[in-house]
Amino acid sequence: MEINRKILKAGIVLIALLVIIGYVGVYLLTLKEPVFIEHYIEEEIYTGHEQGPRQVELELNYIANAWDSRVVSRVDFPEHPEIQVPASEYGMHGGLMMFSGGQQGPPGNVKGRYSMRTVYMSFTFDEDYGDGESIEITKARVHLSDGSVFETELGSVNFHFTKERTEALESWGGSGSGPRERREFSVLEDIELVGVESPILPILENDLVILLNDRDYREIEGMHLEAGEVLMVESNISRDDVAEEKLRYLKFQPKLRFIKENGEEETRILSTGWHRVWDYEFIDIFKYLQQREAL
Amino acid sequence: MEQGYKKIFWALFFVTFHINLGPLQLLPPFVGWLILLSGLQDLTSALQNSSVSTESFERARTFGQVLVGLTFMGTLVSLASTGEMMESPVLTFYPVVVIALEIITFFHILEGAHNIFATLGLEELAGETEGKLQAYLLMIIPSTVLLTFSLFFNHSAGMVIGVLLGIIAVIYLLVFFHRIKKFWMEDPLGHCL
Repeated sequence: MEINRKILKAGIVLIALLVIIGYVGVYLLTLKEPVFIEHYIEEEIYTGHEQGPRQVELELNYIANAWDSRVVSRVDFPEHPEIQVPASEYGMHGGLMMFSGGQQGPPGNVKGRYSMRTVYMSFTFDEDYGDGESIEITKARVHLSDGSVFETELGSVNFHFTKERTEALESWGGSGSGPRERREFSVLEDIELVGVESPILPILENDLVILLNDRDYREIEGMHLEAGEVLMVESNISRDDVAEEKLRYLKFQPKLRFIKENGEEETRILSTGWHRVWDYEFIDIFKYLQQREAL
Repeated sequence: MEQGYKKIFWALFFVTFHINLGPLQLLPPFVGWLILLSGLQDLTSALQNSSVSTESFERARTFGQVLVGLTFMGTLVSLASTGEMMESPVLTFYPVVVIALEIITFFHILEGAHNIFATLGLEELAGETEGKLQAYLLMIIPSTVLLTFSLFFNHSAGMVIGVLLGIIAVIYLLVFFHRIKKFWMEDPLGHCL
């Protein structure tokens, strides 16, 4: 019986220690409030030819405690109080909130002590926005289902409004998806390239490759293209295997600025590259929250 | 004696396997622990006029009483909160604390059973009880450790394996209690007590 007594003692001491350490861990790892990951998003919105209000659906990701059963009920933006959007964690269908039936507990992808949650939002823009106008959203005020509200940094969500599309370049083919893309354009009139621009270019500079007819996008100023030529664009956003980059939502739409023969400047989206947040583990979320000083 | 082990058998069965009617548990765990206390009372009463020490059963009763209180509160909390409170971080390791107390309780019950057989000179049965207790501990302790990790990391597969291992350990114990109950039912040595 002596051996059994020792096994019991050792077992109970081990379990008690694990429970104590576990509670300390639970306390240290608990988020005071949800943390939105950084989003760098560009959305080109074409409002020309009296098409009526345009709808843009966006997904924003945030990290919550795994046991947090509250859901986001509304989001507004302190920098742009005029923008009102329906928001739901259960998906958007035609601008209406649809609740998935039969789901147990709050939505989200649970990884250890945390859950990666997605807020679906539907923005509606009317034709009041002029050609070339932009809106940048960097902050959000988030309303949760228990009535609590918190303000958070979002990164940089950009909407660009365009009324007229250029007729100097015509896209006629492309391949690739996600971070890597290859597109070809027919040049319909003589143009001189000025440069590639995007508000999120500085964030991506080290991870980004854009080649225009095999020339780096930083070296295209003054490059001439004649009508009938082909402009080949290859773009790739690399991602390092670090938490900061794994948990970063990107939708990147760089624009080519060029001068036409008549001296007018115009722009054309070159490609769309994106990184969704999908390949991560508990340790990535933990490191990310440490970097964001949320713990 | 037979009545006492019968109650312990059913107590262990009801605290391990829950029968639900919708969201309501037909027999909440604290009822199972109350049955166990009653079984222990039967055992100590049966041993009152014998030379066998009832110390182990007394200890088991103390832990059983703690379990009645703890699981009663657990039942109240889960009824009042429709499940949400049970997900609160404060209660993360509630199941582990209950299982740890359960292990100590059953250790003392089996220690008591071993003492009876040893006092009566039934060395073979005493040795078998010791062996069964050791096997139970070697199954239930790792399963509880695994469950503790899995609860911390919300690891579903770990939780399933931990719970399955725990159920195997409990079934092993149930079979042994059934055997002891049958032994005392046949009462070959009842006159010795």
